[in-house]
Amino acid sequence: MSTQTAPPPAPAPARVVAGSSRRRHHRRTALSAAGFLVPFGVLFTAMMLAPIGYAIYQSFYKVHRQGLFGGAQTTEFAGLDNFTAALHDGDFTASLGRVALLGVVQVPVMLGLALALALLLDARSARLRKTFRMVFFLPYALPGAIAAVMWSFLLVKDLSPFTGPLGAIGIHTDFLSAGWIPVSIGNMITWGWTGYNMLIIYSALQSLPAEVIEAAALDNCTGWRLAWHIKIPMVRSSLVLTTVFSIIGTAQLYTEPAVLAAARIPGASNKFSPIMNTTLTASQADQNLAAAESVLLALVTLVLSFGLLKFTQRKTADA
Amino acid sequence: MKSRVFRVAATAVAVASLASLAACGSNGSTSKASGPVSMEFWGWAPGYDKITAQWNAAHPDVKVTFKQIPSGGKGGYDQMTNAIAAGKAPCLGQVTYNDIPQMVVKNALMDITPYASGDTGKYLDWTVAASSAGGKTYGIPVDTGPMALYYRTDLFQKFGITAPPATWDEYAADAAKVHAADPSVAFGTAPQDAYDMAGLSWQTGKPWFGTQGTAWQVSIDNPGTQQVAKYWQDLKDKQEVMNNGNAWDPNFDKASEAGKVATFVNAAWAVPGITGDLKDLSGKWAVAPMPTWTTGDKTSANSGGSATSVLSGCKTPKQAEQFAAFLSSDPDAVSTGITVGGLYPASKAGLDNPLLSQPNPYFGGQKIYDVFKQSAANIPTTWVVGPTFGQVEADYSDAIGKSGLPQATTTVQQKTVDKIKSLGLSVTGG
Amino acid sequence: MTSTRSPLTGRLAVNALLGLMALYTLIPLWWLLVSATKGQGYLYKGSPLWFSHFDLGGNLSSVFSFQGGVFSSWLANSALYSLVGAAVSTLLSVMAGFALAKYRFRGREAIFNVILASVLIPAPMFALPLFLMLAKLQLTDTYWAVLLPSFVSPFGVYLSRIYASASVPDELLEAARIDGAGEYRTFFRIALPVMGPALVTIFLFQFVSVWNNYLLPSLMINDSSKLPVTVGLVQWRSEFANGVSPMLPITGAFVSLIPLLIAFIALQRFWRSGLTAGAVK
Repeated sequence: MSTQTAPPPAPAPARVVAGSSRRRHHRRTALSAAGFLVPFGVLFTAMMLAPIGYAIYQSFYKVHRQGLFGGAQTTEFAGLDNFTAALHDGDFTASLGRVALLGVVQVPVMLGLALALALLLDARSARLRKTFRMVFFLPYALPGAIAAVMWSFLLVKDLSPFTGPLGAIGIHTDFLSAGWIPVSIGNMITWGWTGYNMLIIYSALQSLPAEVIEAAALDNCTGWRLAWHIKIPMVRSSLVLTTVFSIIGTAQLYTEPAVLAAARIPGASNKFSPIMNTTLTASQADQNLAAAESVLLALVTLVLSFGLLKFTQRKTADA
Repeated sequence: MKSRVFRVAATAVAVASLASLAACGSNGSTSKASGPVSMEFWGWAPGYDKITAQWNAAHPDVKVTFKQIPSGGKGGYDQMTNAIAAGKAPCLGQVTYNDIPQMVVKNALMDITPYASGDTGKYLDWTVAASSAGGKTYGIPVDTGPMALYYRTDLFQKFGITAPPATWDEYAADAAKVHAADPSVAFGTAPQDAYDMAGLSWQTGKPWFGTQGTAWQVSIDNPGTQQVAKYWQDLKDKQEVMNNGNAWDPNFDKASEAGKVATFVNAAWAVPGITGDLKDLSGKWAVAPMPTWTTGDKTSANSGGSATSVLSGCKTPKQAEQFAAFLSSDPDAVSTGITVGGLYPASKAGLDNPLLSQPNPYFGGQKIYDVFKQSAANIPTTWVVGPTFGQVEADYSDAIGKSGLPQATTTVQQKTVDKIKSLGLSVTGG
Repeated sequence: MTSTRSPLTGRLAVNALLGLMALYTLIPLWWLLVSATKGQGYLYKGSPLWFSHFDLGGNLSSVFSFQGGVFSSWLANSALYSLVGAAVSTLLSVMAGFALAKYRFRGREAIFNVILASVLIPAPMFALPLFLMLAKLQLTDTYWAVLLPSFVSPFGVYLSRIYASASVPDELLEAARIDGAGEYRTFFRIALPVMGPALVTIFLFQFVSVWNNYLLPSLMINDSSKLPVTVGLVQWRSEFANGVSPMLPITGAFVSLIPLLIAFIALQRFWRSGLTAGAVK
């Protein structure tokens, strides 16, 4: 949602074609497999696994400094000290809470909107399907950082085209005041990503077998009931994946609040999201605490997204 | 069809990797031949580029390249420390007095005592102290930030204020008067961040930090800071001052142009900010001494001011120190600093620069530096800067956004103690 | 048959809702277009959503000339990072995905699971330690610092494996081998063309994700001439107070939108097929 794009929808849990493996496969030796895997493997290890390992290592150490300015520094094993410190850091835990709240409120709003739009586009009465689809997808062409630059002007009270109409219906707000900034950030993400998620769900809807829809129609199941009872359950896997990727995207929130802080919006906090906290902590010469914060954040994200995947898989299996 | 896609993709890969090789091959290989020394200097103060050009004209054997970076707290220091980590740091960097201790803790600055010992006597004592840590010199003082009250003569006349407020009580009374006459006009700007709070608290003579042996004492939440915090919170609550927007903030500029803000309290280096951004208001601004807490008192304060430091890893610290000394004390360099950057010199000889006694047409012909000279002579020298100013700055801005100034001060006190501990330094207080 | 009943009100409602959402999507972009044409100093004048004080030409020339024309370098850098990053990562992903699908060897599932798990750990969370590591290798502030991490796309490997399993017939590979083709030749001549759609999808998504990247280059790059357009524009925005006119980031944002917009409309077909790819198989 921020820096790294949430990847595209994954195919439904892979049913790898194992049956097609025949004899002779033994001739493809591990050696030639290695030839194909090594280029990716080396870079993957260096650029992803090694930093994670390095962060885990750092998170268990602590720098001790001597004198007023820390002339002589020694690095010592610190056990879980950095983790306790991170969890006792009110700013860090508050940022976790903020992002969690954003995940609980913004993700369902965005995905609900995306699903609704996909169903509307898929409805028989929709007109101008191609145009709408293209329009909804447009914000994806604007990088999050640049979109945030745009919003940082667009939401300024005296400049915003929304101030007038909203004032007319009795809402007088400064969208860039401290209290409204979380809402504004939620809006930026929703604006940027609803169309993308809509297209994933819409594509899944489009690939539903026509016979099923026709059969349902014969059973007098149309409109909302068709959507609710037939279509939504059938695009379940794409909903699960958009949810997982939205959660990952929210957990790594950085760009939007960081741009607002860089733009010196008075209500913008430089500690809004967990990653903002870690970069700030690191720039204050506290690498080890920053590493512990990163590890904690990654753990929480992994548990949540993996847990959700497993949970939905089991539910699918039960059904 | 499919094979065409493949061929296109393969060509793209080939072309692209060639492009990247070419792009990367051409950089980072600036070989340092023996002979003339060349160095980089990173900073953000206006005028440094011109002073660097003056140096280069006079010193063909030591070439300095100036690079403009974002101001320190807004990413400039991160750029310096990142570059040091990458082994590509410039030799010279602008560091404000507030930030020298934290840069020392980050091992970002080089001890230049051996090169600078002959020079330190040329600068105001407190700036030399502020550029040092643990008895070692880490920078050559460039300028100070004697504070004053900038005010709009036209608005003062409009609201019947005959003389600029000499005390904070008078300031508050004038603010109330203006508010009563026209609530849409703010009398001044409320402190926005730690730099503002530090400047205003400095005047009370109660420093934020102290040392006891090898331990830091944190006293941000002291009676002086609280006096300042309560005073401004009260004005904010009454909506008599702008509670967002500082000088140079677009909000401030917009309000000034519309005649909606009458004063601001800031340092001498604010001069080019308003003369450059608010050209239309020429002749309408004037400068008066900073209001004081007691009648007849002259105590002023300092806000900001920078030194030039030699960054860790510099291979030519001797020449770097010579450049820094030139920047701070060469008469022509000092003149450039005053005219372009509004830099009020830290060098004792620089204080006699003839430019400092000239009238300034933007300010209606006022000799504004008379005011700053008096201010500079009345700055308490007891101020001590702590080792985590970046954190103090981040936390103050954050806390001011969330709560009132007095509460924010208490919050920052606690967070500062925690951070110093977390860095593995010893700390008492709080 | 009541099912053909598609009442007028229902039809209206469907299209009205779609139209409302289209407005929400378009208003900010329209504002960006209108604002980019307003003369310097007139941003706050006139209606925010209609043209006044038209001076698009003046804005464009200041965007491309400010700070020695660095904006064109930013655009070129973004293109370089995205094109090279996406091209290399696509090739590496397809090779790895092919190997994981078509060779059987000990530890295959373990490797695949590690790659899958890494999809769930966002890279930005470990951008700081990566920065420290690259700094030790003296690679920060070079093009490599942004390129190398963008060569790695675990999700690309995942997609490639699924594609390879489903679309590259073993018989075809066997036949090629019997004809005496080596492993690489078989891959490049036989497997890769069959995996065309997967290639395009992976390329497009990695392209956009590198183009959008902000945190990584903002950490890695100091030298303004090596920045991508995202970081550059945010810097202009933040230097508002230091005399950088708001027209620069606004017009710059508008200009930076154009190349991607063209790519989108031109490649619309591929986006759809790429997105559907997941859902069908």
